[in-house]
Amino acid sequence: MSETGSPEPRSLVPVLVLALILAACSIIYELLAAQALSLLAANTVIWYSLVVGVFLGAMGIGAFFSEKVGQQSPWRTLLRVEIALTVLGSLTVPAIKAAHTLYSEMQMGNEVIAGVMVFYSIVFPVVFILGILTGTELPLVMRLAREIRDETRAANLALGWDYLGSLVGAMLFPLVIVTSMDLITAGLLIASINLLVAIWIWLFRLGGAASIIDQFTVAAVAACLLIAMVNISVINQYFLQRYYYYHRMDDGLAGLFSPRADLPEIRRTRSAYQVIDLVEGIEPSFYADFLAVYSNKLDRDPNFPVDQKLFLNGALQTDTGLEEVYHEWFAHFPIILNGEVPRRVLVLGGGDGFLVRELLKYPGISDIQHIDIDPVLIGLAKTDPVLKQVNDDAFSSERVSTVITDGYQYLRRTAERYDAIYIDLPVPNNYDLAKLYSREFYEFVKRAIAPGGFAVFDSSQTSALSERAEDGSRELLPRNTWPVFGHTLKRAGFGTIVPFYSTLETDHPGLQRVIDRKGFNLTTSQLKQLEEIRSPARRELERRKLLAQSHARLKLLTSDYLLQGFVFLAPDARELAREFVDLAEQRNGLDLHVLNARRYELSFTDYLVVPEQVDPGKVNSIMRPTLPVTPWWRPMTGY
Amino acid sequence: MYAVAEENQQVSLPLLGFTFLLAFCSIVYELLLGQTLSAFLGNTVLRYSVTIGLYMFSMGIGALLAGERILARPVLSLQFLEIALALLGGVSVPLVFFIDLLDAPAWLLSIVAHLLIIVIGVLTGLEIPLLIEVRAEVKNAASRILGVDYIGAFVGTVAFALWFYPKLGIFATAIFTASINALVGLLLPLYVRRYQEASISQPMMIVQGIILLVLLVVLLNYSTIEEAGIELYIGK
Repeated sequence: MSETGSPEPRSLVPVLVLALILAACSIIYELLAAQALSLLAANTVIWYSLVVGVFLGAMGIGAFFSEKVGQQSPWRTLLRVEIALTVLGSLTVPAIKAAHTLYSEMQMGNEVIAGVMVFYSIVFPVVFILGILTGTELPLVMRLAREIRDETRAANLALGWDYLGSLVGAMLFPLVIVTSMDLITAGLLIASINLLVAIWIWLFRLGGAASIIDQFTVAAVAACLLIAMVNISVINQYFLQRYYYYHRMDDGLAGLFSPRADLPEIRRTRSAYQVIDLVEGIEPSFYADFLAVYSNKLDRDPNFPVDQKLFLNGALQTDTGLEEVYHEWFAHFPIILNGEVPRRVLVLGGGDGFLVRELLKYPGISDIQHIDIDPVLIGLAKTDPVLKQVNDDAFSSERVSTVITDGYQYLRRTAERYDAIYIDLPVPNNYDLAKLYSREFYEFVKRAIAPGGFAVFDSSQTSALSERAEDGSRELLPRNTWPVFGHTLKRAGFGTIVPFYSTLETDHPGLQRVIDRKGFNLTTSQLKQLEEIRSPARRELERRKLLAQSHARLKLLTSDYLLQGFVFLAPDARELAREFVDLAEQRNGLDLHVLNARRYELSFTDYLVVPEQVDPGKVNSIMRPTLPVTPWWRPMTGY
Repeated sequence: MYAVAEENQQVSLPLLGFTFLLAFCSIVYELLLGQTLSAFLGNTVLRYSVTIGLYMFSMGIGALLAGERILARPVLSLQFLEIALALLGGVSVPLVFFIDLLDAPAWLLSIVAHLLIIVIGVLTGLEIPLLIEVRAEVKNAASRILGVDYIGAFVGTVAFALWFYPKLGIFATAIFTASINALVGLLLPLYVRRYQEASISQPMMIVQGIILLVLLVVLLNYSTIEEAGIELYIGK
């Protein structure tokens, strides 16, 4: 291919542009893998570091490898590398998601470790091979540059353009790709660039010299890619369904991965900060029965949407069925505890609007300053029919003013003082969020509390408790964040720290009636399992066993699973009201669905103890985070 | 010097060890800056992607900048580079933190941090050709040193994510890593003299020694200094 005979050397430009494009594509694949993993395994820093490390290592190996191959015909080798990258690049994110589906299914069967091993034994080889392929590209391109002009400078120029390409890719990824498309879509898009390069090499560099097999492969891969692009929304929905409904899939590998048209579509919205998913029907049979026992919500409005869940970046935030068990405690418990209705209230987060709806029940609250970072989520809460119905159009109230900004920075800079500060933020499962539970942040919170005022935050991970022992005592599970919160809040200098749980009574007569009345909550796979038992007597025996299990699960759900942790904070040491009082000065009082005097008393906890001495090793700081406490290697699951 | 002649055909283990440590230090600096940006300005994904992209890019620029003048005097060049890297690495986090304390606008903080990322990247990119040049007569020097460089970067990323950041914290990590860098900066020229007839700059050795001493003093008192920093930050 070299042009040694011609008087004028051929232009280097095509090869340089190639170096730039290929480098950009490669780094985007790498970041796609890192992002997909950090959304599934919930620690951005670790996953980005690990993927970059593995990718760099594999690139090194690929570079050695490329010295061995392609000496004869670099263009032909590059063509094949591009075809391989097209295939593997477009499959990277789907492979990671499929691996996660397998993990989700296995951890549900209590095979966590095996599931983790399956997950990583799929994920890392994919990233590794991607790195090797990428590593072979650069030396090939440098050799091609050298063929055009036989001087070191030509190869170095190609190297320089390759580095520039990495930079372009690394900028495009967070600024354009993450904010505008699903990761699978992005993978297909980048893969099609690799494919175009392959086609270009075939047509303009190899011409007739391309082998029949290469030509056929390019055509076949192009056809597959085109089909995938046309059906992209189906593909995205397919993987979303595996994520959210894995426990409703049929048994076996085939059942887990066969498409399910009967499941509702997941409504996905994207913002600069997160993907927002509204998911319907995750536990369809559960809510009506449960709500009938504990809440009067369905009596008043039988058409209330009870089975919608809101997820941010795949992590559950709230669900419309049981949200009052959460929000009535969150809003009212601290006010009753403090014995006084606040006038000026600050709400951080809570973009669904449910908490603000509860606060608006007090005529005494004159203004609610609401801070959220994500305008898209607020927009959704104002316009989505389901969310708007559940939050009672709270954000349109004259008493609410929403400011779109970073709550951390707002509290750091503000000179305003509030009678009550409500902090309703996602659980700290990554360092970005851990900052909002840091000692520094709580110092700003404390400073912004007006005399006599309070702050409260939801701490769902403090409800991770072991089963009740004989004497009724319970231990904190390793994933319980209370030890971190306790020391961090103590370090921040709060005089009053009161953890509490939203708690329902388990001896409610209605609960037993529901359990007696129906074969409660057998899953489709359990029913199938029963059908397969031939002998009627054995089938009945098995059915009772399964029922007993699901009853136990229901009891557990009401007593333990629904426990939702909160922490009440005041700067000074304070006398608190241990009795339930309705503090709203209007005829119907607070108009509550679930919270009452008995449940109020049940909600004080003796499992969580505020430490006397601060252990500096447990304090969560932006300088040295002690959150998240969940092990980094353990993937999270949809629901 | 017969011993030297015997091992001439291999890149020696100590040199590979130094390469490993330098790659390790550089990637830790970069991740520290990415994490500091993310701690002060938010959006981890953006910070990490841009940091990694800028690092690779500026390393490439550094490699391209390694011209004959620099390569002709590898010992002096390495001495200078390690002084600069230990200094920049050690100063990086405290500097960004200080700018944030001054209530400076976010763009200023962002520019300074990204400049640090680029400069550290360029200096690191210069390092590799120099280390290769030290043993240029060995046939596989380039691939051995590059390979160890990758391994150092990988170990650095993992160590940062699993140990440095959650256990030591950003401040102590910056000082600790810079100390390693300064130590290598002292030992490497002495070691390289086995292969190169070049002279070592005494003033630069003294500067590097002082840097190492200061870093060690800071490291021994890091919790006091960090505490004072946090108290300034929260406005006490």
